[in-house]
Amino acid sequence: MVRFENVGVRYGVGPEVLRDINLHIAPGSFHFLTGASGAGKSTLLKLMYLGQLPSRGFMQVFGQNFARTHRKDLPALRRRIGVVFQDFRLLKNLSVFDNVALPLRIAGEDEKRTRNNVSELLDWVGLGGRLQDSPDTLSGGEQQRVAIARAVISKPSLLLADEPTGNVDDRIAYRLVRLFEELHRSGTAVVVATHNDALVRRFSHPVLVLADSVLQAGPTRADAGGNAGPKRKTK
Amino acid sequence: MTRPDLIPDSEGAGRFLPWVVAVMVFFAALAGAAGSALHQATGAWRNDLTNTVTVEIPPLGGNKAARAGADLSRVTAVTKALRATAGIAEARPLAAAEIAKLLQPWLGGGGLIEDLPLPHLIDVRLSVSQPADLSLLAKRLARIGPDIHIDDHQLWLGKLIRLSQSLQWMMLACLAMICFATCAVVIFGTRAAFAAHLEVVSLLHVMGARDGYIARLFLWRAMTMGLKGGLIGLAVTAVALFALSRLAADLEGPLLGNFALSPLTLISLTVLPFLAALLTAVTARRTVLRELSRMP
Repeated sequence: MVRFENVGVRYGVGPEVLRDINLHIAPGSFHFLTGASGAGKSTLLKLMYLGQLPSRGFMQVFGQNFARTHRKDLPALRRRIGVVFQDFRLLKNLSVFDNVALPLRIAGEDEKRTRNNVSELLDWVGLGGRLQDSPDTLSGGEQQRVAIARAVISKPSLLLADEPTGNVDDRIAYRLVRLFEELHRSGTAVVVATHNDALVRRFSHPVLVLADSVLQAGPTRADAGGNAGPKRKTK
Repeated sequence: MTRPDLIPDSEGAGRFLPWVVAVMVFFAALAGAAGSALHQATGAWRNDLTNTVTVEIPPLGGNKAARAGADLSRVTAVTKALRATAGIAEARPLAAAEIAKLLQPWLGGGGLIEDLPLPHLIDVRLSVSQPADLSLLAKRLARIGPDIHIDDHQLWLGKLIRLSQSLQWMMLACLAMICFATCAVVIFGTRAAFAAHLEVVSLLHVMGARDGYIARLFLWRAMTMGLKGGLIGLAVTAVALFALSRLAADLEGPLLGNFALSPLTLISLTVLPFLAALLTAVTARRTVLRELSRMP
């Protein structure tokens, strides 16, 4: 689904912020991406959601060589990727409903189907009564649920979440990851970037660790004595 | 479906765009109206003076009472000769009172005009189908008096038309510069709006919005503002032109008598706001597409 080989990212003439990145995200897989703040987790996710060009290396997304894909073909690939941003990036001038409906409208979905799907999903995340509210009137947790609903409304093949647990307590963070696991069970490949090691250890999913601009395999709960069995997968 | 409200038009530098477009439309409409009026007036002058000549018969020397009879007999002889010439539809000597009226704006209405040795004038209308040969006519009239002169108005009319045409080209240049300035303002305004809404644009881009989808958001925004500004500009122009037409109506004279705007010009002026909206929309779209092409 996503394959990086010797990918590097450099801004201007500075040092590489990502170096020799080799990874493979298989369809239907679940990965945590960890690393200290500023390690480059967001940059790596940005590469994955085709929001940035690598400075070097080979990048394949959904079987397409990124370097050889024509720019006009990229939107179709991006529509297969859902992204949950750390700061949610909800549009304040749109209602909760319209925020979640945006990916479907961009894709040119039928309006009636959009209405049904969005209402159903917002019911599922417990915001069925707030459809026409402005995101500004929601609590942080509620905004996060809207952001997640927006990321998954188009049933993406790949879901990328950038520090989705950054602003919530451990209990909510755990529930959020459980929610991502539910999506994962429906066939979506999930990558969750977080610096919450304790949270990562509560699950048995493979961990990608960014340190010194390089991607390494990290420990899972099994490594730390958990019961899910070792699962290391970085390539 | 594109949601124009994704890019609010009341934010950023773009909020001044309607006012800039209003001013541009006002200037464009004034330049267009002036150019059109000049074009119309030039045509009217040309029509009025083509196929007409004026024969000037200078007064003979001597005191007024002594020369009156001789002058009158020269006028009669010239008129007779003119009327006998093939290709002349009409020859009408102007009465002294008519000549005095023509000079009144420059010399006033006192007795000065009566004291001056003014030439006698004969207004001649040539046949449209087969006008008389003016060089032959001049030779014939020279036999009556060598000082008799035929003025075919071409020298004066030529200068006037050249001036008028130069002014019309200047109006066109003004219109071109107004279009250029409008485009420049729209480009800067759109870039500012693009920068102000970069977060929204990036989000839409990441969600898989095509460049055309994002550009349409800015296009609608610019078109709405352009149309709003254009209509304001047109309203101000209508007031200004109405005031000018009232002022022009108070003026008398053959030069200003044709400054009324034709229905075609008026229709063209009403189209201006829509052209302004189209220009702003197309410029905004091209600007956004250029900005988006820098994104991966």
